[in-house]
Amino acid sequence: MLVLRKIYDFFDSRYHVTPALEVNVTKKLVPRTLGWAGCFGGLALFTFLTQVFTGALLLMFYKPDPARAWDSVMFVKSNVSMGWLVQRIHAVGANVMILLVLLHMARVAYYRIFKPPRELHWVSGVVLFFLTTALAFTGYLLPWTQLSFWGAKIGTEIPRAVPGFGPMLVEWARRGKTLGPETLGFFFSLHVWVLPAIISGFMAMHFVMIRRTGISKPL
Amino acid sequence: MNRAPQPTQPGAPEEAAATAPDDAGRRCFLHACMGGMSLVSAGTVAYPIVSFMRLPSTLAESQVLRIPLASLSEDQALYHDHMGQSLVVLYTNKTPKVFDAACTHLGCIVAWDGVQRTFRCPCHGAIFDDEGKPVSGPVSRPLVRVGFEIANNEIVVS
Ligand code: FES
Repeated sequence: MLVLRKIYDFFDSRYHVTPALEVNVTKKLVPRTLGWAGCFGGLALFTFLTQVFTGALLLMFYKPDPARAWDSVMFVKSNVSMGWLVQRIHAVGANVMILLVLLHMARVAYYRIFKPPRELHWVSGVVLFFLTTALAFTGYLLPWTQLSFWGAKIGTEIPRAVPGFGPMLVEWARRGKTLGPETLGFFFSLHVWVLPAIISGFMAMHFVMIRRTGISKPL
Repeated sequence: MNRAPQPTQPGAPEEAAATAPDDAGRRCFLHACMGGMSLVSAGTVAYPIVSFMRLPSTLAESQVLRIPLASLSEDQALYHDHMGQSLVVLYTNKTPKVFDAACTHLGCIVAWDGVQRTFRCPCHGAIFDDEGKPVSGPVSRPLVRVGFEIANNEIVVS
């Protein structure tokens, strides 16, 4: 305990941690009228972080190759200790995250929190929602099961409805005429790097905006 | 952050009471409880993560390597990994030979050159003949021969 205190004091005396902690955490008072519904956004962030950590663990074993993807997932589930748990948390967490984002949006819409000066909170939030969906969609293909294969097939079929460019977009998303190893590699890179990087940027914007305007005062 | 000041602070009366001497013990106890509970929660998160990172138990590796004679052909070399070693089976003049494929210089895996009928090391250019004897390069020792038996038309290395 004394050692921890000393380490804390070392940083505190140099970077003044305590005042920042007091303002932002320990002495920060929550508005009385703010109910549980105000937690959905924060919970969505928490779920996102859970996904990042469980995802990093799964990445140690996953092989983005149609011949080995399913086996590598099964290996984690049956041979790696606690692998089943980590895999389940990651798969269920994706659904939970989408649910929480939707609940968060429903509350913001219901209380009209998107009104000026917070319009861009809403816009960035909608972008975050689409990115969350894209993360879930790309992750769904990775185990390369029947469900994921056909799910990805139908999902990549959607842009065909775009007038003119439709077929081109479909081919671009599938990395070819049909779903195959190229699709899997593409989805894998989107899922573990591209989309998380973009979503982190939008999250940062979303949070900075909230700090600048303050949260909306409930009635 | 233009948050409105809080009208009332419900925590205030309790805090005044907590400074009374008889509450010091209780406060200490609650602090310990809180710390203990945080430790337990941290542990439930850390335990799966740490155990996930342990080396997974793979299926026990077979101690015996069996290579069917039918898989060999004249003047061809066949590589097999066996218990952390790379073995090469060479089939010449209708007789199989088994070598440890690690070069006797610094341990790179030698490659069979069917045209020159030599083993060549990719690292520093050592060359061995089809008996494993050094021909040229920075080596003086021959390739290590590995003992085997032939049973049921299979080469058995144990
Ligand atoms: S390791 Fe083979 S020549 Fe040096």
